[in-house]
This record gives sequence, structure tokens and C-alpha cells, in this order.
Amino acid sequence: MIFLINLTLILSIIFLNFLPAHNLKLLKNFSLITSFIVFFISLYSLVYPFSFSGYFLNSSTLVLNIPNFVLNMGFALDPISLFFVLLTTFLFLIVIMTSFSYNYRLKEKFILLFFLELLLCNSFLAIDLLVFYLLFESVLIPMFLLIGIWGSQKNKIFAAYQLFLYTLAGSFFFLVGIIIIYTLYGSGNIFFLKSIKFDFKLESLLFLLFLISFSVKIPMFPFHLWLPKAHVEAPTTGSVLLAGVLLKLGSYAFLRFSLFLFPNASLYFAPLVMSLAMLSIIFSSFSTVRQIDLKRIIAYSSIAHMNFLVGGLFSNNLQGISGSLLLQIAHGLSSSALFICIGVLYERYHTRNLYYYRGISSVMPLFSIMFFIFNLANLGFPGTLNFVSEFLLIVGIFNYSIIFGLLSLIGVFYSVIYSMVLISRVLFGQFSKDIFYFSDLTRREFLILFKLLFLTIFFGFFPNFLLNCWEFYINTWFLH
Amino acid sequence: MIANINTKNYFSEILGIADVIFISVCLIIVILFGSMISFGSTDKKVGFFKSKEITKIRISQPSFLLFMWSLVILFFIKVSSVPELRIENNFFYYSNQVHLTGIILIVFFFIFSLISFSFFKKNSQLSFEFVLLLFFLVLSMLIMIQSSDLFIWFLALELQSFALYSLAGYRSSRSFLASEGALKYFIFGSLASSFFIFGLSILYLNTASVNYEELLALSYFYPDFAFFLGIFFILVSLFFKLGVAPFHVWLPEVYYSVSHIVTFLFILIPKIPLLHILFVFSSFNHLEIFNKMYILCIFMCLFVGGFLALNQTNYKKFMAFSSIFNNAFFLTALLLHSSFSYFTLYSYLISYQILLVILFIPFLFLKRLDHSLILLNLRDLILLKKTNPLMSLLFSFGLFSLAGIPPFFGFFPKFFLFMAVADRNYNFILLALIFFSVLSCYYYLRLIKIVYFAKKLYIMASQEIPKEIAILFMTMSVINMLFFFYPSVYFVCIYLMSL
Repeated sequence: MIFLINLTLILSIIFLNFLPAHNLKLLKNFSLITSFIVFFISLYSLVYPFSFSGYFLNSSTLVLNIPNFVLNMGFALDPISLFFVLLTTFLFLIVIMTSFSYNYRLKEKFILLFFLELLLCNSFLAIDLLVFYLLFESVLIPMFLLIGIWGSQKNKIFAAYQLFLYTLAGSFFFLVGIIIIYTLYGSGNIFFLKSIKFDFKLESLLFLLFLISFSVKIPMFPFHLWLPKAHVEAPTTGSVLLAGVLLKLGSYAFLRFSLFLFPNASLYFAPLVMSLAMLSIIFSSFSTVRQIDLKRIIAYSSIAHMNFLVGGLFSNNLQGISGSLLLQIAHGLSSSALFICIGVLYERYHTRNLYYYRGISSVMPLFSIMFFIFNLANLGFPGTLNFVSEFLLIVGIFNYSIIFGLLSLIGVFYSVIYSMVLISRVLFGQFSKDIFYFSDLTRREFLILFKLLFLTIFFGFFPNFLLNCWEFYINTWFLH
Repeated sequence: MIANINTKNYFSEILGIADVIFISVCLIIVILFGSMISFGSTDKKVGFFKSKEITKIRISQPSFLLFMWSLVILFFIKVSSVPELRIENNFFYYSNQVHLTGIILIVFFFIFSLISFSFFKKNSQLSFEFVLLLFFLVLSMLIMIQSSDLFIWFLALELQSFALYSLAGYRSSRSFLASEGALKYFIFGSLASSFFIFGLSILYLNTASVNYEELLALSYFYPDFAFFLGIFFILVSLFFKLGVAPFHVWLPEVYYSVSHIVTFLFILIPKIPLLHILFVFSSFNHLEIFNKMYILCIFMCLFVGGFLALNQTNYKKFMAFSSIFNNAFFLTALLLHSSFSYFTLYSYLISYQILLVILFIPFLFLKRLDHSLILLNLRDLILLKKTNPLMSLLFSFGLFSLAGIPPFFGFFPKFFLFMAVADRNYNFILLALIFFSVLSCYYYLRLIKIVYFAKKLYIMASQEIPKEIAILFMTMSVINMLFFFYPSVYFVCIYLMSL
């Protein structure tokens, strides 16, 4: 599967180079079809014979073999990474549809997006530490260019710098960890490393190094400042990808590497990580309430949700871990939908100031319904996927410790407040006199939002499909 | 090892220095050719060609082509020659390392000559002396890398320095600046050479030998203060020539003043033989004091290269500080003095050279549209994305690669270097290197920002690029981009050569 996806994407990147840049219709059709094909290829992997215990695609090619150093390019597909790849390919389909509305340098944008998709799909499948590091870092390059070139406002360069340097500085700690592992054991394959029993001191050192790097990506409390800026300056495409997939890279890495390789250290340091997560939930929830930029509200709320999910990961029980996995999917769907909604507003009125908008519901009913439902999803309303996952998370965190559970409830409570403020400000109230021009969702925008809505509601009613896939897997690998 | 005189085979001895002999013959041919024709041109009637200008072109172009062809032949001689042939008196030695260094040297000389040839064809400033000096450079460097006698080193180093001093004053559009730079370079360079000869004389007084292997043997048994002093002065002189941080002051000034193509030469070529000599010298690193000296120099390089490059506006000064910064990595590889030392040094060196070619081509071949001047400042690259979109993309990939961002070429040698440092437990250096890599990333990103994010319609840099240069640029960029897919050949080759 990964081979087919890579092949399609590389071929389409090469082919896009030769398409004329002025023929927008051709470009759009071509990239849409490519992203459809990639999505269906990744969907096809659901059909494979599925053994729940482990990996059903495990390819490993020897790349380099000199004394003291063996590099295997390992890729494997398992029930968890499968859904992340599906989320990625699905979101890229949506992102390509959203970017149709803004024609500035469209060809380069599509090339960059396909390149990013290639990197992300591979990084979710990597089972070698070094390969994962390579992909984890190289994701920065297209993101940097995406924000810098297609960004909307004046501070975009500063934001792009912050995104790049924060993550780079963080992931150098990851690199140090990898170097230590390679010098000691000579391989970065996680199955090989799983068979080794680390000394506890070494294990905790490695865990802390990994923690710094991943917590920049999540982002957790001391390192979270880059995210709101990057979101505000990024185009809608960039925001959707950032919230939908890139942040998941950090939490996925926590699961795949920290929890998997260092079980003792993660048990030992769980209170530290939990308290950091709770701190960032409280910080970001408090600061969400007083934001007036629409994108900043969603950005801060996504920090809160991501940290909620990290709390679940370290709760060391089935409910917590599966809830956090579920919230990753749910947050990927709902927050990207909210960013698309804000993009819709921004395209019409060219401002993201909260006070500008009032009483939109009277002129844009379809948009209002969508915005309303996705806000409900974001606050974890029953009937959406977010509800199921947050419920599981709360159960998991309460199982771990009552204090952390109570603290995490603050985040849930505040999410209601800021979502309600957002809904009531934007949709309801007296119709603003500043708004002269109105048009409801176009057919394309409706289609985009409807897909996300359908998935959110569908999995909200039938979450068992996902949970059953993960249950056995989590029990065997992540619970002690 | 002293060669057995009785069983010597003259033929194989000649084969051992066949490349040096070949290049000297070519040099003599070029001198004869050039002097004959230019004699003719002084007399208007008798000369082969009528006007002086045409004569210049008629001499310089064939001699340049001869230079390139001789490099090609030299490459084949070098590839096909047999290692482990020794010459009497131990003046020369031959090993895998020398072999690899020679090949790298010839390849990069060829790339440089290709670039400079089309550069001169475009600007019509090629002169015969340039080619002659390049011949001297090749000759001196080939002697330098395979001599095992410190005195021969010194002589070859002086020959090289003589050629470089003259090249520094090579005429450019800002000729007075070039001569000022040449004078600066001459003064500093001769100071460095005097350090070398001073150290050499101390060593000779103390040990009555200037042979490298004998000195190395002595260093295990009899390292006294004068011995330290001698080696110390020689190292200082080599650091001077390389531009390592406490002795770096001349480097940005000279790079700034001399003409573009000569800057490219300075930054690309002399590193290779100097690093080879330093690698040979790094066997003295078992003495504690030189370790400390290396560590001090590494930190100085990181500080100077990291912080002073932050606010440069001139491209050549920027690249000068960047090269000082990268010297820290070379010195780290030398400091390790492990079995991986050579491997890390050369894998890093080759990647750095390739990236330099990528980064310098836009500056050599683009011109400002407003008044067709050569690019000088970083901000002259604004709107490169509009005029040469593919070039701007590959250029910024080159910058990412130099900054050490993963999927590109530059990351892998850096990673191996970090591995080797961690292996030798120099943890503090490892952390410093990593920290300053992030810092260096900042200034490379600044250049990418100028290329891509600036919106002012200020200056447009554009011109048609010659076809051979475009092919070279594309080749280097493809190596840079696709290295990720198959790194094994490169590393395994260098590893095998380092044995």
C-alpha cells in the first residue's frame, strides 16, 4: 500500500511540474483526482486480512551497512497507523478542495501539498527511529514554505520562523536520543529495541529527551507559543493540516516510541507529563476565552484538546489510551472543519475579528448550521465522535488519579464556555450593519463540510468500529 | 617504513607520481605555447594574430581547454594508479586516503574549471595567466597531499600560496578592492608561512628530522616542550590557512575583496589538501595539549561563525562566516582521532563542497536587471522565485541541506559526525554542535526568506544561465535531493577508502 501511495504521489508531483500554470481547471482536476486515488488506495488497506495482534505490512530494506552502523528503512502498517494514514489522505483530499478558492500560485501549492502528503504518510508508517526522525523534521520544510508564501498577514515570516525553529530546536533532543540509542545498540528498529531491556537511568534519560521534542510538537505548556501564531498567519490549508495532521505527529510519536519503548520510564514520569498536560489545558482554556481572533480561538482550543489527549495516553489504562486515539481522529475532523468554516468567513469579509461578526445566521443559514454543529462537536456534545472520546478520556484519567481527572474537567467546562461564546457572537444577535455582502456556502464548500460532518456524526454513533480495531492491540502492547 | 633500495623498481616509482609528472609536463607545454604566441603578438606583422584582444582570446581559450582535458586525463591516471608505491627517501607516500583525496581534488578542480570557463566566456575576461596559476595550484596540491616529508609540505604549501596570492589580485570590476584584498591575503598568508617554517626549524633542531613518520614515532617516546612548540606552530599556521576561528580575521575581508570567481576558488579548493594535511597531523592528537587546542578552536569557530553570520548583508562575507562555522565540524572530525575520523571528515567535506557549488552558481551567473551588475548582497536575490522559479527552489533546498534539515544530503554526514562524537564521549561538544546548528539554521532561513517571502519589487535577479552550468546545477541538486533514497553507495565507498 505504502509503495502504491508513494508511487502515485511522486508521479503526480513530476507530472504537475509539466502542467501549464495558467490552466487552473486542469490543475485543479488533476490534483483532485490524484488525491482521490491516494485516498482510495489507503482505504483499500482496510480490506486486507487483518490480524489484530500486530503488523500486516512489514517491509524493511537494508540501506546502509557499515561497522557500528546499520540503517534499515522500516515501514509497517498496524491498526493504529492505518487510521492515521486514512485521516491524512482524507484531510488532504479536503485540503485540496478548499484551496480551489484561492488561485495564487496554485501549481506550486499543489506540488508542495503532495510532497507534504508523501512525507506524512510515510512518517506514520515508519518503525525505525531514524527514518521517523527524518520525516518528522522534513515536514517542516513544506510547512515553512506554505506559511511563508501563502500566508495571509503581515507577521507570517515571524510565525514561519517560530514554527521552524521551535520544532527544530525541540527535535534536536530527539536526535540526541537517537544518537545515544544508535551508539549503544546500533539499530533504531523499534521491534529490535523492544527486545532490549534498558537500564532505568538510560531509559528515563531517553524518555525525557523524547518528551521535550514531542511536547514541542503537541504543543505542551512551556513550548506552545508557536502554534497560535502559526495558525493565525497560515492560510486555511495550512491551518487545517497543522491542526488535523501535524499535531497528531507528536501524540502519535508519544504512543509509538515513548510508551512503546520505555514503559517503565513512562510509568515513572507519567505524573510529570500529566501535570504538564493539565497545566497547558488550564492555561490554554483560560486564554481561549479572551481571544478575539477567530483562528486563535480554535488554535488555543486545539492546544487544550491535544493536551487532554496526552493525559489520556499516560493514564495507563485501556479507556484512556483508546479515548486519546479516538480524540485524535475526532479532533482531526472537527477542528479542521472549524478552520474551514473560518476560512469561508474570511474569504467573504477578509477579517477574523470576533466583534465584526454578528447575526450571521439570518443570512447564511446553511453555514450557521454547519458552524453550530462543529462547535458542538468541539465541546464534546453527545452524538459526535468527540463526545465518545472525551468520555473515555475522562474515565481513563479518573481511573489514573482523581485530582488529574478533576483538573481535566476544567478544560471540558471551559470548552463549553468558549464554544458558546463563539456561537452566540458569530451566529446570533442583532445583524451587524458592517456586513453588506452575503452569500451562503457554495456547493463545493458544502460538500467539504458535509464529508467532515458525516464522519463526525457517523463515528459518534458507531465508535465501536474503531475501538474494536484497537482494543486487542492496545492491550498487548501498551498496558502493563 | 623505509623502502628497500636494492629491490626498487624504477617503473613503479615513476607510476607512483605519474600524476605529478603529467601535470608538470602539461604546465611546461602551456607556458611554452603561451609565451610563443604572446611574443609574436608584440610585433604586429610577425605575430600569428593581428590585434591584441584576439590574441588574448586565442591563447587563453585553448590553454583553458587544455587545462580541462588534462584534468580529465589526470583523473583517469589517478583512478587507475596502484596504491602502496613508495619513492626513495620517503618523500612521498601513497595510501587509500591519498587516493581518495586526489580524486576529490581533481573532480572539484574540474567542476571549478567548468564553472570558471563559462563564467569568463560570459564576461570575456579570461586571460592566459589565470590558467597558468590554476596549473600551479593543481601541481602544488597534488604534491602536498602525497608527500610525507614536512619540508616538501612546506614547499608545496608555498607554491600553492604563491598561486593563490596572485589569483587574489586577479582583475575584477572592482580592481582596487581586489588588489587590496590580495595584499591583505599576502601579508597574513606569509605570516602563517613563517609560523610554519619556524615550527619546522624548532622540530628539526630538536629531533634532527622533518619526516612525518619519524616524528610520529618520536612523539610516543620523547615529547618534550620544544616538540610541542614545533607542532603547535605548524598547526597554527595550517589553521591560519584554513581560516579556523581565532585565526580567521583575514578570511571575510579577503573573500569580500577579491572577485567572485576567485572567492569561489578560495572557498572550494584549498580546503581539500589542507584538511588532508590536518588529518595526517591529527595523529599527534594522542598528545593531550593538542586535543585542548582543537577543542578551543572548535568552540571559537562555532561562536564566530554562528553569531557573526547573523547580521551579514554581503553574500561573500556571509559564506565566509558560514565556512568558518563549518570548519568547526571538520575540526571535530579531526579531533576524534578514531577509526571513523577519516570517514566522517570526508563524507562531510564532499557534501559541503557539493552544496557550495549549488549555493555559488546563482551568485556567479545571475545579474541584476536594473543595471547589469554582478550580485553582491543577500537581498539581491529578491524575486528570484519569479524570474528563475526552479533555480530558486533548488537553491533553497541547498540552503536547507547546509542547515542540516533531514531529507537532504547535508543531514547525513552531520548525523554520522554526531554519532562519532557521541561514540567518543565528547558530550559537551555534541551539545554545542547541536545548539549552534539550530542557530545556523536561523541565518540560512533568512536567505530563504529573502528568496521566497519578500514582496517588494526591488531588484530582479535574472539572466539566462549557460547550458553546461544548468546541467551541473541540476546534477548537484538532484544528488542533494535524492540522496535520501540511496545513501549506501556513497558511505560505503568512503568507508572502504578510509580503511
